[in-house]
Amino acid sequence: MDTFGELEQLVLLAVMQAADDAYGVVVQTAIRRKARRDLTLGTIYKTLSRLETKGFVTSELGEPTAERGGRAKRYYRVTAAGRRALQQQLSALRAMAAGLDIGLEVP
Amino acid sequence: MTNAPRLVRLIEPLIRADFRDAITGDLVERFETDLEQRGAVVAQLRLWRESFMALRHFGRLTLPHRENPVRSFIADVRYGLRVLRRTPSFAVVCIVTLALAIGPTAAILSVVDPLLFRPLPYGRPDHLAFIWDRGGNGSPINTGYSTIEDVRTRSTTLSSVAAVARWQPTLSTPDNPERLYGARVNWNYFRTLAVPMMLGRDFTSDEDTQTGNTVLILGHRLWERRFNADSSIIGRRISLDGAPRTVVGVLPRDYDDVVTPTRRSSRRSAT
Repeated sequence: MDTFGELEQLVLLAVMQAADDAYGVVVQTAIRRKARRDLTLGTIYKTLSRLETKGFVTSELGEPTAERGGRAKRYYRVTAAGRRALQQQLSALRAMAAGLDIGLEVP
Repeated sequence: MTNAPRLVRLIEPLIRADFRDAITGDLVERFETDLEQRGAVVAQLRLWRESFMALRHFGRLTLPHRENPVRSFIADVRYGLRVLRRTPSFAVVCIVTLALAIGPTAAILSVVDPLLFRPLPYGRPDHLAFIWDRGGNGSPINTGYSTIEDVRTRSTTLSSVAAVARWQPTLSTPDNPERLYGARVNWNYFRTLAVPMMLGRDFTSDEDTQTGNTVLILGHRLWERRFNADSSIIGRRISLDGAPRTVVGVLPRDYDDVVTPTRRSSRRSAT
């Protein structure tokens, strides 16, 4: 099964956080606020299209919006495969961190 | 809010069609938010950065990935050396082939270049000709001075005739005497070749006599090497072959002979 790197993990989590409103600026803002990482939109869309190729997210174009000069947004949604991959990766991380005092809490 | 910054409108056609709306729309949105929250300067700076990265990842004209040319050259050289070391016989063939090619090419070029490609360093080089005498077997031999005089006085087609002979005088200085390469010429030699003096003056006709022959013109390199390119050299007396001579001129660059007028046996002439 395809795995993914830290950048993809961050973007995937941000898409899940944004629920039904996951498009570039929202994902970027979430990562900036919560992960303190300043990623450009180009990087984020590049990561998203890589995730889409792997089947971890799907995307669809929204309606053109007036605030953006009639330009449509591209909304992303995490697929079941994406969710599973994320769960596996995070649980692997938790297992490896268990018993170590590095601030990763075990639920 | 709907008026997109000019930069976004500029790059919009360059973004891949399937991401064009999403990315440029986001750029506008990001810019408007930054403008509100962080001010115009930060918003502009961020927009440039965002636009650059958007073009880099989603530009329709993506530049091919180029490797460091220096590093790849070094890698090529090292690969070549490895191949040569593995196959010594092939290496020998390569080296001999290169040597056979480069050696004669360099030799031929060093002769052909000044003879055929570079113009002679004289004014109107296409009007110059050598005059040789003919020996008993028909081969060219040096021309005697009286023959030169005959040619000069009787010729109707030559506008000027001059004579030159090789000369190797000794520059006598107390500390460091030196054998020089020079020429004896008659007084109108440099006028005939249209070579101007860089310093001082040319010879005069009354210096071209047995008694007046006490002057010399220095070649450029000699002037630089032995006299530190001293521009006050004119008028100084220098001892050549033990006889003092007065420096009257210095030749321009590319003329390296030390020159004195001649009245004696001249061997070559140029018109």
